[in-house]
Amino acid sequence: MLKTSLNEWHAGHGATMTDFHGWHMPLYYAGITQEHNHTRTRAGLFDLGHMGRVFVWGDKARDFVNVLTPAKVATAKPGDVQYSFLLRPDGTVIDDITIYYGDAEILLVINAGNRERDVEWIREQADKFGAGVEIEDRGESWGMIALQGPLSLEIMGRLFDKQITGLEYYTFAKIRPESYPGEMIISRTGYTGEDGFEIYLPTENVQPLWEAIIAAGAAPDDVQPIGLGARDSLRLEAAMPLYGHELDDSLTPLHAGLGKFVDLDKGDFVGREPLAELKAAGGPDKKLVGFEMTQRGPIPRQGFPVLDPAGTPIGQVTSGIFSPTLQKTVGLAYISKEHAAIGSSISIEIRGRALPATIIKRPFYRRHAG
Amino acid sequence: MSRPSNVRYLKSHEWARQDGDTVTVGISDFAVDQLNHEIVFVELPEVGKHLKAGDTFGVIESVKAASDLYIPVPGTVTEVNEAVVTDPNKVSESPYEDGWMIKIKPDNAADLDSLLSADDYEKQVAEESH
Repeated sequence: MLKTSLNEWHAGHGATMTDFHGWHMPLYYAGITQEHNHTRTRAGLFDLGHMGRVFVWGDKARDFVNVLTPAKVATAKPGDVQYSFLLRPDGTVIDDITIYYGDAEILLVINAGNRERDVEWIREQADKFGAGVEIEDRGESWGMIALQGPLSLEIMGRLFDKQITGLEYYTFAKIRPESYPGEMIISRTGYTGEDGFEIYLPTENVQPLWEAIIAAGAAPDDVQPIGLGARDSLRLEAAMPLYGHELDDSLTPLHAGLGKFVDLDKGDFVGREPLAELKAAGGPDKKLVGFEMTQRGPIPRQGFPVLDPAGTPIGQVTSGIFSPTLQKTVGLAYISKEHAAIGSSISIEIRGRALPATIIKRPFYRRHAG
Repeated sequence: MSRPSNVRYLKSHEWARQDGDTVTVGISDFAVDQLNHEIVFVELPEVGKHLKAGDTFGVIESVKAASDLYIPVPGTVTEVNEAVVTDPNKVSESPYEDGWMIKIKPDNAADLDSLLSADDYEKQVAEESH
């Protein structure tokens, strides 16, 4: 199985490990719910070495990314981060990604489960694009960690200067800190619904920084390592899509309600035409919605049928949890658009029983500002 | 957690304990471990229901997955622990005491002898955890 540079650290700190798309990753250390709550109230540290990091270099790097993705590249300033996609010519999603616009280079951050095919796809598209673009896969030579939660800013302030603590949401800085050889990219981003930072750095620096962050808490347990179990429940409360659940090979960004990340007016990009046609035709006939179970009960899970009040199937669940923060069972589902209004009554079929639920606004959880 | 010796086990990690003329049923500490201690839902049968050998008597769900609960010996449900339905954490906190699930009146009390002894179960668990 594939391992990140922190694999032995995880094992040495009591992690229960799991196979995540071929990666041997921590599922939890102390417990999923405990780690979830810790991240919401203090600070959680995540090993994200399994995600992919692809650098695009060259005079034409921006032009290439403009064709490769539906992102609004023209308005991106150096230091900006954008959420975007890799799309097929038919508009379906190969992966959801983040784009980091540097002065010279552009970093594309891709999902663990899609790493190989993404890198292959990016290289193929770069070959097709022609001169002025070079692709560098730093999936192995660099690692990635994230610090998330209300104490993140205070903790980062003990290790880095204002260039980092002054970062606005969805921006980044590239720095050369004295204590760590080489470059480091730090962004004010995350996948938990909390304030926080994501950090990209050479693999040999990952563990030293990881340990420094843990040691930087005001109290010894302010910073706790967090496994993939809580990473999933945190992102789901924040209603952030997870590839393989809310996005996959058969869906477009428009299905997932992510049309605002698709700039149909910027000129040509891979997948543009079918998405423009779909939008002009009134959009997809199914929509991603959030729902809340009326009563505490079994958990709606991926693939479970969604029914209308008459018992007719109208869609499928993509993710569901008993939300630790809300103390309610919530989930996301694709359902036919005529049934998708907020407040509609639906039911979820769980092991042969139709259990009542209501369509509610997303996200389920929003942190208090400030 | 010490595993009690006065109960018998199913391969699927349910335990059964003779208490007078009823049998109390729950899941083992090993099962709780396998569920990552994150039990979010327990569904139990109604009192009076008769369960045959191999029947499921309920469902337990962790954050990550749902598992069926199997009846250790055929019998009729005489009591259901509503406390674990209301607070599923009780199962992981105290699988052999407060976290019991149902009591049944067995069709044949001798059926209990066909279950795994504590020693045999210990061996199975050792194998499963490598």
